[in-house]
Amino acid sequence: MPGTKGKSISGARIREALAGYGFIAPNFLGFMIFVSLPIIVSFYFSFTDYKVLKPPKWAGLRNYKEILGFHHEDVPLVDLVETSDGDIIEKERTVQVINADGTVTAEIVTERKLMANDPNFWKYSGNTLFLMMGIPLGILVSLSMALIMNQKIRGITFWRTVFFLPSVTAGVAIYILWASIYSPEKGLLNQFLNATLGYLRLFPKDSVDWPRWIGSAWLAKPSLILMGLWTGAGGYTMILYLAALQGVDPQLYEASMIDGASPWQKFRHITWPLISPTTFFIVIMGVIGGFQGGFQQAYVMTGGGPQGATTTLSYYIFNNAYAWFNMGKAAAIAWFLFVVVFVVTLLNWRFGGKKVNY
Amino acid sequence: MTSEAALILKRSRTPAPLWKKLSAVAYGIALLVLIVIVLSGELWSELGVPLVLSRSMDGVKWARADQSDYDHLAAARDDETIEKKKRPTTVRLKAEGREIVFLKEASTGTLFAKSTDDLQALLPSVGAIAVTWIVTVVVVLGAGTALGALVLKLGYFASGGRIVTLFFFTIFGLTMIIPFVWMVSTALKSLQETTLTKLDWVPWPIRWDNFREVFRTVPYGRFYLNSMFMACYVTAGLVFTSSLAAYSFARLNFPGRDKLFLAYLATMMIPGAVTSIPVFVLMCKIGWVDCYRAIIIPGIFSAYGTFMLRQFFMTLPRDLEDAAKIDGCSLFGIFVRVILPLSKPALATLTIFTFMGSWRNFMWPLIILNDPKKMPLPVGLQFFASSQAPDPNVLMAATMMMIVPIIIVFLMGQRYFVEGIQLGAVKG
Repeated sequence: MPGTKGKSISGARIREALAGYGFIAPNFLGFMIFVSLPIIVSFYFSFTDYKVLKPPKWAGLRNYKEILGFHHEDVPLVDLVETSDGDIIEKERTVQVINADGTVTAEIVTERKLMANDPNFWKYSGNTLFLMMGIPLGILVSLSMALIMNQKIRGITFWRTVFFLPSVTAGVAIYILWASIYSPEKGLLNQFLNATLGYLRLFPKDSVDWPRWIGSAWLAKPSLILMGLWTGAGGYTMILYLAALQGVDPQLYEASMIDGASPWQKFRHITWPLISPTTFFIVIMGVIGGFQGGFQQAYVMTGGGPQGATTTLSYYIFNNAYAWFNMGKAAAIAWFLFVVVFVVTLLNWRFGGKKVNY
Repeated sequence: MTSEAALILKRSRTPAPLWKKLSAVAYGIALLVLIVIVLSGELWSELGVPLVLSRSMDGVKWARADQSDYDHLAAARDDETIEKKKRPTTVRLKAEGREIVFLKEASTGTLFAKSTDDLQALLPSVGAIAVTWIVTVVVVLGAGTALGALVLKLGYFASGGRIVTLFFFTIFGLTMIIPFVWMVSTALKSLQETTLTKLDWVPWPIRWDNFREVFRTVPYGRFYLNSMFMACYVTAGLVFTSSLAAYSFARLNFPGRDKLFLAYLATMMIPGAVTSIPVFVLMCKIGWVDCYRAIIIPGIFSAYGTFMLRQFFMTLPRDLEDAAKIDGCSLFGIFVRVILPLSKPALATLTIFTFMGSWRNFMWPLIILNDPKKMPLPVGLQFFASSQAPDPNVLMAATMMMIVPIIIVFLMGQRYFVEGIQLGAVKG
């Protein structure tokens, strides 16, 4: 009965399709309202001047020009001059100009400098890139720990738990704890250094200005990286590496021992290539997360850092959107961030993927 | 060893070719450059500032100072004079028993300092920074590499390595645990004990009152309840909607299925900052600002959850489903009675991760909420730390109350946790 068969198949197909749509419905609703539409709307916002109280006003490329653009500015040259009272003040350098009609006027000498429209933006981008240095360091430490943990010792589960503890508790509480540890006078780190390094008589104990870590303009970012290493070293990445290491065939090592390979050669030619998929995955996730990260640290620990040293792009977006209500500019920076993440991930995929051996 | 084997070993140990030696040198130089970049700090964000630690001017040695050093002393100063003798302009600050002259180099804007009391008193502070940072970086980089190599020597030869391994475990383990121990110790101290410059691990007498102080200042119990309540709702909703959608993507055919799934995947890479701005505006327009709803409802949708479950469902064998279909089970029935029971590990993993993620959620509740009584734990803790200016011991007590339950729950359920990560890594 060919006719009936064709009819029932299409009926079943329609039912299946309807069921398919039905099952998806709640999820899809969320997808539209909270993901798809906002993407389009924020793209639109990035071309407007939107302070929340007033409706958005079309401004074209102004936001993007503001963050990415440069302009020439005439900056007056300034000298330090001693006045008659003995004060030292800053005074603009002037030059005597003879006008066309013979009079002499004094004109301020200026210098034509190329300046960024928003120098803070570039500074914060640099901060974000700097903080991503934690990714290779993290890989180094996690891999070392995984190599050590890859042994069948009794009680290895206990150590795995201990190493995992910091990454489980990660969050605002950890940042507040570390802000306290980095505290200049009463913090654990400075007390510890005072006790140990001072004991070694490198400098007189208790008499030195100990570094102010996150309060110091040039130590703030390295301190954040160090804290990130503590939080992440024994956690997710280490477990991934452990799983990868356990997938390496031990016969390969035995074969290399017959050839007289040193431990370093074993690592470089057997271990490292075989765990490269995991490394690749960690690097990609790390880069994606790294571009968007640093918000919690900046907000909770440093408030943007001494003179903007720890402000990352995500904190800058937050401030623009919710502190200064400059939604248009915030959306523009967010979209710039998205494009950068997209391009970097694409590049990583094409070039990094070639290095991955299976 | 036979002579043949010895010959084979000897032949294979040829000296490394030149390019390998050069690459080793290159790695070494790259490592040094990394250390210098990390040391120089501002090199990334303020290109063009020279890396200078000290400078000699007029035969006097000036040390490079931090602007924060200047501000710190200027805030505590007794007396300030601007020397007017000659250029460059200098500022003499007397504070904390020391007299320091600051100088700002006009061309680069770099700040220098020298101490008129004791020339050496200032240099060690810069030296201390350099030394401690070098020590830290070398310890982190060097120990990591050295440990890996050492363990390779010991671990794969499995001889006598146990004690050394235990030693390194202890060092690493201590590094992980010491901050928590210090947190607990500070939480139980009185204020005078925290101001001691000595490292004091044991608080005596134990001051339980710090905890009561936390509850007196902020509704901390409320923070807990809020976090718990929001996490439960979000987890339940997310697992429900994600599993339904994942089943549909994995098993059911409907037009546009694969394209839609690709769209889901594409959105996983969108930074949260992009979507949060319009969603915030939407919440403002419909009046959901400062409501629990505004946090729970957007949290119910997740592309990650759908993706992970779909991958998992696709690995399940179809036989059971076909059998159920023949028996006349509806699609929803198959979903509930066949698929869900088989997916317990994946669902458990998703539940744990969603619950934890919701517990840690900071930025979105921070944006939406104003009322302290509605704040979840992370936002509440930060609110306490920033707006109430608590003493360090009370602050540590509050932090401890947030961290310790997480640790306890983790210790109880760690087996599922680690298995879940490995499940996710292998399947995904």
